[in-house]
Amino acid sequence: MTKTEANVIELSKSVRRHVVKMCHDGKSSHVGSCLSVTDIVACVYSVMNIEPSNPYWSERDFFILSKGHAGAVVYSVLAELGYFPSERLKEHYQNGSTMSGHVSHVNNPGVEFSTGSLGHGLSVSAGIAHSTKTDGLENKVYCVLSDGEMGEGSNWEALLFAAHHNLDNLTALVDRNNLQSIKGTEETLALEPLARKIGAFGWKVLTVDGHNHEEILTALNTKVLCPKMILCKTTKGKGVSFMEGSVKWHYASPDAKELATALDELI
Amino acid sequence: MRSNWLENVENAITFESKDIVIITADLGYGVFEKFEKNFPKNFINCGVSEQNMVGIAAGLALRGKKVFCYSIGNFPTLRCLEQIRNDVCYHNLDVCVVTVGAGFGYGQLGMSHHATEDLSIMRCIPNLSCYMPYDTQSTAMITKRIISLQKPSYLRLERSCVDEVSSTELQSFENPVLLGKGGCKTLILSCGGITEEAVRLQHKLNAAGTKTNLMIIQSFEDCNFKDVLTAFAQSERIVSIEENVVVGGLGAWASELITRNGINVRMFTYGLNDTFTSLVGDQRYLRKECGIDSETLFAELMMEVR
Repeated sequence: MTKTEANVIELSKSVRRHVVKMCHDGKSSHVGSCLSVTDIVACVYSVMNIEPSNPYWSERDFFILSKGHAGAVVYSVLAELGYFPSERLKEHYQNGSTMSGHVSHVNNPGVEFSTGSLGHGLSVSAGIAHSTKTDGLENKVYCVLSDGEMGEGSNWEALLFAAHHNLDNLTALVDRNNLQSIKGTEETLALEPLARKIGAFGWKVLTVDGHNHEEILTALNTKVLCPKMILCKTTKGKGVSFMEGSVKWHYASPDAKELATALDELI
Repeated sequence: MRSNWLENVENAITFESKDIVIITADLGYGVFEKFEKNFPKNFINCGVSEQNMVGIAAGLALRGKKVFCYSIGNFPTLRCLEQIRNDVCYHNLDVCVVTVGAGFGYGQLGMSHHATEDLSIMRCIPNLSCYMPYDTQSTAMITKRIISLQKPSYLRLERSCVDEVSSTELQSFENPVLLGKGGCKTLILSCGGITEEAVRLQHKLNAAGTKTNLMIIQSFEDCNFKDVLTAFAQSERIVSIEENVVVGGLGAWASELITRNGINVRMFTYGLNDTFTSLVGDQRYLRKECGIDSETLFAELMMEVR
């Protein structure tokens, strides 16, 4: 196991513990969505060129969470990396704070862009990538989307654009947990064969186990000459047995007993 | 107006070294060829994808570019309104959304191309300044103004040539623009290309003995409100004319100011009714059909002022 993989294991564990607490304390939705994407976000941040003490460092890589409802994950990762004190995570969802349920850049160092409405992040990411590439800079851009979000037409516009302009500095990852707001993705608006569809748009597509850090890191470090999509097969609610694979935990927040059980499982 | 806008953008890149990018959603045939050739790094055709266009613009602006997003009619506004609101305005990014074909500029093409509610809708978005040039000089001043400011904006250009309102060369952006000697009981209020009808109306009313001032509003937000309120307070009646629905546009803007400041004045709001127009016609024809041409307005107002 590499040092990076060891760090990611610890980071993912800490983030999951933060997230279930935050969702309990704030009585907020989306804990299932947060748990499914935790490993993905932790891996991305572990390969990014960043300086937590200088969130606006000109040479930094960019991270855009297009599935903005998993904001608690990004806040937790940033806190663990030292962008701001972990104590601030108590502000999540609270009256008077700027740590909204959907990820917010306001007063939250390290958050590049506020999202919440699905289908925006990939275009913004492509715009950043186009700009840095045109200017001959080395910054890379990472964008995490949900699979349900792929119903938004704007994403496919962005896919076309990124491929046309050969934005090889852009990596998108889809949290492919196969569930969305009411039922599964394939019952709602079938995405499969998603890899072939995105590949047909001119991207290099890699498919990984979205909870296997080694696989995710290998995919992230794979060099390609075009924009890269990593489809991450995940489980909604991963890590907490009674939350796994359930649409309920897109909406519900754990009560005190459920929180205690969850934290016991997340040791 | 469009060529005037583009010329000023080119000047800003050439002579002021502004880092400007124009993105078009695949419109502007015969417009951008020279620009693209001269400034290849400053031009992107993103194809027929307006939502993506504004998202890309946000990404470019995050990297310090000034971005103009271009299309016609309602395409760069209503089609991608959420991107304008969430990605550009909420993040306070230096992006200007440009449309060509205000009002019935593309009248013969049908209702899909009638930009007749945009003033109302765009005015409502926080942190967005709407600019409505009324002739080519106004377009030049407004474009320079937009380039000098680094904040979200909306620029509503006419498709066709409009009469120049004044032969006097404007030196800078001023809003409002007042035509007349002041102190008249009747004040016409207009914005955008329909100002040419408002000018004709003013001449007709003056000739008929009803002394009238004309106040042109170039922006709802970037405005000297003191001058506006002074002119309102000095009037007995205000007649607002817009090529936009009467709900929420120029007339509503004026009415809100009047109510909020307790000004005692009679307000007449002329614009388009709360209905779609299925008739085919050029801009002048449709203005007449909708009763916002100078002849129709003059006839109505003369009944009021007698």
